Amino acid sequence: MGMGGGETTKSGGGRAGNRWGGGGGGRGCSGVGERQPGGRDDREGEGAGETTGGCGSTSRGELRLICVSPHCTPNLAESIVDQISSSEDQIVKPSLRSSQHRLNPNSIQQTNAIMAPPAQSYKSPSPSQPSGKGEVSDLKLQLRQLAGSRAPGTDDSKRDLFKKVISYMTVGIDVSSLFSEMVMCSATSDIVLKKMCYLYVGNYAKGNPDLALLTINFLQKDCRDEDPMIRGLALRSLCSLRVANLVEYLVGPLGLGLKDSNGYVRMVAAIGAFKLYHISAATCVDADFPSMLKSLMLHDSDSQVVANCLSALQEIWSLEASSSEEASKEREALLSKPVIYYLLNRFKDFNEWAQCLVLDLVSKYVPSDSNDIFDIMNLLEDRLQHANGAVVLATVKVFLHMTLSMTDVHQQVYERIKAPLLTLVSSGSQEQSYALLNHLHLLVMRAPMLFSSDYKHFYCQYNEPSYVKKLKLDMLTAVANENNTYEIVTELCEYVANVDVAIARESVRAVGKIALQQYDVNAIVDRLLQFLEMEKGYVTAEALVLVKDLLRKYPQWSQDCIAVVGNISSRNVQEPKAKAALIWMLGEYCQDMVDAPYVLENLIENWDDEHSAETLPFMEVANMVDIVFVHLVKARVKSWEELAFSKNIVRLHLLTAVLKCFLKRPPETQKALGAALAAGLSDSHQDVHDRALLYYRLLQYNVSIADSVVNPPKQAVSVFTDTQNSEIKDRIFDEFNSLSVVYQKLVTKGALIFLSLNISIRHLVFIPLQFTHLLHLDHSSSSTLFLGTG
Amino acid sequence: MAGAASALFLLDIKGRVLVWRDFRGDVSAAQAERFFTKLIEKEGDPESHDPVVYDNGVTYMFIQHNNVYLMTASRQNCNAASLLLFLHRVVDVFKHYFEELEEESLRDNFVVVYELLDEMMDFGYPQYTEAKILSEFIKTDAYRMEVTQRPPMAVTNAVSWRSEGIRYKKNEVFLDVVESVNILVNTNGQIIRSDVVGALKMRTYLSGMPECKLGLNDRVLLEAQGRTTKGKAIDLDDIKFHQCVRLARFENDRTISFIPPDGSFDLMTYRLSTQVKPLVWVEAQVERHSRSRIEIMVKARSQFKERSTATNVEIELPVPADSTNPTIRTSMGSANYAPENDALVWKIKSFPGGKEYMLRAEFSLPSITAEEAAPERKAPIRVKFEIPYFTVSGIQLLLMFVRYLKIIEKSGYQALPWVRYITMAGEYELRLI
Repeated sequence: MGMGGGETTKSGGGRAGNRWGGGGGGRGCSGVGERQPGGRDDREGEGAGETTGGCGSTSRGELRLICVSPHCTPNLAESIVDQISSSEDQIVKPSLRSSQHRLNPNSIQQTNAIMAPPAQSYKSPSPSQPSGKGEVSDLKLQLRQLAGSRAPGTDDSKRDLFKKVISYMTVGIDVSSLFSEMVMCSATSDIVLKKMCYLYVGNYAKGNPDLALLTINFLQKDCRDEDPMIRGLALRSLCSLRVANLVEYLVGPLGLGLKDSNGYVRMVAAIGAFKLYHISAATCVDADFPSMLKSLMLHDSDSQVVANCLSALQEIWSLEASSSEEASKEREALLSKPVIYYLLNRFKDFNEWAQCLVLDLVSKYVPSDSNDIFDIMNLLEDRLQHANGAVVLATVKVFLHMTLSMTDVHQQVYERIKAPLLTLVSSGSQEQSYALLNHLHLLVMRAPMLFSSDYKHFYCQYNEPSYVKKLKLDMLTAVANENNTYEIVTELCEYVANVDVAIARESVRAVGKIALQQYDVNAIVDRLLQFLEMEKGYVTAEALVLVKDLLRKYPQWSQDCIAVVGNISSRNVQEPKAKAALIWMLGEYCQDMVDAPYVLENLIENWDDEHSAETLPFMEVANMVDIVFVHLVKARVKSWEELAFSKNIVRLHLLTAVLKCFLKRPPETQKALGAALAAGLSDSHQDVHDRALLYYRLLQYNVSIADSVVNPPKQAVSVFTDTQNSEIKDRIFDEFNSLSVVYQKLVTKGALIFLSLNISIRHLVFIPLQFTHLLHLDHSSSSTLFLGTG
Repeated sequence: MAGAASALFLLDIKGRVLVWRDFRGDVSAAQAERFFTKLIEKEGDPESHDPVVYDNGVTYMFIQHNNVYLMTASRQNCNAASLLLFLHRVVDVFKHYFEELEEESLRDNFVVVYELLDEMMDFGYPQYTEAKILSEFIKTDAYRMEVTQRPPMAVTNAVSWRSEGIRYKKNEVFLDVVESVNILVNTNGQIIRSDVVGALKMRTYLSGMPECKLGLNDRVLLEAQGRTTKGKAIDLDDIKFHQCVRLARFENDRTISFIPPDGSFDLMTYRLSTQVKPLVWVEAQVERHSRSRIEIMVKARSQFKERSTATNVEIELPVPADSTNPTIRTSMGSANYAPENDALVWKIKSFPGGKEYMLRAEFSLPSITAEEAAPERKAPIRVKFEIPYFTVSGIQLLLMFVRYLKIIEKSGYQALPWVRYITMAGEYELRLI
């Protein structure tokens, strides 16, 4: 098939575009475009005359100030200004004062405004600090003087003043009192002034209905300006006002805008209709804008208009779909073959962002047969070579989703997308690498072999930010297999020795994770044990936790590990998690460690120092704490998810370890056990107290049963629970190229939904029921301790 | 749903809002500012924080540029890769307008900033981000009414990246083939990773709507087609083109033909993962004579042909923190102690191929160190250099990479193409100390 197919489809698209363009062929820039500099003055006069007339016919009485045009004589203008300002004082001022506080939606603190005066030093006649009233009223005066002036250079001075007003507004000074002067001054054809005025009115109209009404009239007039640029800008400002009770004024200009001869105006109008929908869905639907957007989308010759219609329709119809059957049909129609093919045929006209939009739509399209799939893929193939990473990623999504049902092609797609993705990771910005690495991680979870020979791309550079390094470590962990483990682990060991602490910790954990997912852990165990001997507190701490996990999965390594662990002085271990791990090993392997009882005894002597307030997520605790305790906890908490277990993890471990040790080596441990139980019973923390009491009663009741509870037959853990379940992964894959991938969680309508933690408790062994009465403890809440479920 | 941004913020270094555009009215500036200042305070160094953060129903994505943060806020499940890239484009556009994007330049240009932001994003959807195209919309002071009063070009034009009616007295094209060498050497002196990232950077000053045709070396093309060639071949892993290149043409007959944008752009980028011999090799020996004195001996060797010369060579050698009293001797170039980076920087203006230079430095160390001293960050040796008239991929071929560059325009003017080659160090790290 090859790319020739793509080429022909493309040219076909060109023809189709012409056909559909139809009546709009003469679109674009009629007379307006060729406006010559020389003829400007005349036109201005005419234009102003026209607009005054036009305005007079539509405007309401109190808004006449807007119609002041350069056509007026200075005297006349002056008098109108006076007249207006007196009336404006009555209308605007009171409401202004009352809404002073909310008038400033930017809410940049006053301090900020004072600290940061606008940096410009314009040719301002008053060089004083722009701290408030004086300055603003000064501006007001100057604007008023300029409003009626037609002297050459007026526009320039106006620009300077306008700029000043805009900077005041931006830094948070309230300049809303200049409203009428600003509007008056912008009765000009100078587009720069217009733009600044739109900015100004857009900012202040939102909070103030009176001003909004004035603004709307002014903008409505400009929507009929002869300059398409002004029409577009005015329309955009009009639609951005977001004042719900004024939406009726939007319908007319929008309807005209959608039919405008200029592409820029239509492009703005398409988004404008969308904005209207957000302010008042009913008004938008009643005015039949969705269907107008649809026909524009299918027929407009300007690609950006098409793109904007598409984004509007996608959102409008999916929001409408719940209430209207028609809308949900329309939503489906967007994904129909003719629409998709139409967009794809015009694909190369779109700019890069619009291409992303279309690609996202295409990824949801269900192709009719395999030819359909191949046609689309051939057409889009070259997008993988696009310089814009977002386009590449969107194309990847299309390819992956289209081929889901065709296993072998899907595999080929993985091969094809590999190189472009790797290039994007290593070139471009760090933020881009971050987003991409998240996606690669998702891919590698689905196709583990994908990057196994390209693992070197995930080696960390010295000056990369740590968020990239962390993801690279995750990638290295994920791509490790029998063939590359050695190199990867060697590289990870470099990070442990070299870079910053957070990454060093992550690297140790990464080595541990690789060890836990491999069958041949020979070399890795040695490395881990070397970490223990590195004499860096944080490395030792992380390594201890890992060795503990390793022993739970591979008990056969206990000999080697215990020999090294035995040499570690417990004094050098400070972190609660690591200490708990060490204590667990001391208890579990007390027979292999000669001085285990004495180490424990030492630790118990320092009982009071072991008050660690570390909070751990529940499952981490469940993974490491022994069974009985888990049972206790389970009885107490209402829901698994809510539980974050806190505190005293070291003391709890100490109790268990001492008991284990006692059962194996009673004479040496008796003293320590006594001390531990005494300390535990008098402990202020409920969990510690309960456990001490439980052990005490167990021992009283029957020592051999105590032994079977604390030292059950060991089962190697095959899978740790923190590995995510595949259902979530599949659903995240459906949302490829969205935030879901970055968060590794499902995101729906912006709210994160944490799928219930898939807690598998198969490796937890339960106490035989007949012993539950031992748990009957002597405090008020005892009833809750009975185990409800098995 | 692709998801749209709710608002776009430009914040100062302390996280206060300088300028913002509210697109959807569902995230307030106060809310965003509160979130972001807290983030900065908490982290101290926002560099280390993920660029995508979720807070109270809103996803914030941000990048930093000089003393300014650019941030989008969204309540939808939007596309992270695309929005982050968009923020970088915004930076590019601002740079085009203000030379440099920083707080000062924003404060000086509020009006233009607003105008640009409004044209680049509407209602949370990216629109146009090409600086050249945007200049059609933006009428700053530099663009007076009398000069331009045309309808926006992009929307009426088939070639969205180039305006019509461009005129130059002298028509010129500059093509720079820039290859950066990334290399990573581990403590045993083994190269654990090496690749070359190349770019064909163009600067065009051409009138009208010129058609350009670029011929690359045949072997590159054959290789890209997947055919094997005799002898050494260039193994380009991945090629990416600027949007102006007619990709279908490239796939069919292997010519790169395009109508270039005006000004500078990257025509093509490629990646080559091949075992490159380190062009500049550095060996270092560190001796701690006592607790208070350290001696470093460094050998730098150029491993390329004698006819080429590396320029602006800069070797950054890590030294222990708090080193004092440096005594440095070099056989070439000059070396300076840069205590702020805990490094010794050795600069050699010109380093011909096949040469070897030495450096010997001695430092005093504080004899008393704090008990709780932060663990030593062992930095790698980093090298920067440029080698003009040299390409790694080209040298493999013993042929030049670019064969021809043709420019055809209806008016038939003669354009002068200038082609330069340069190889430079990219991420060039040797973990030798």
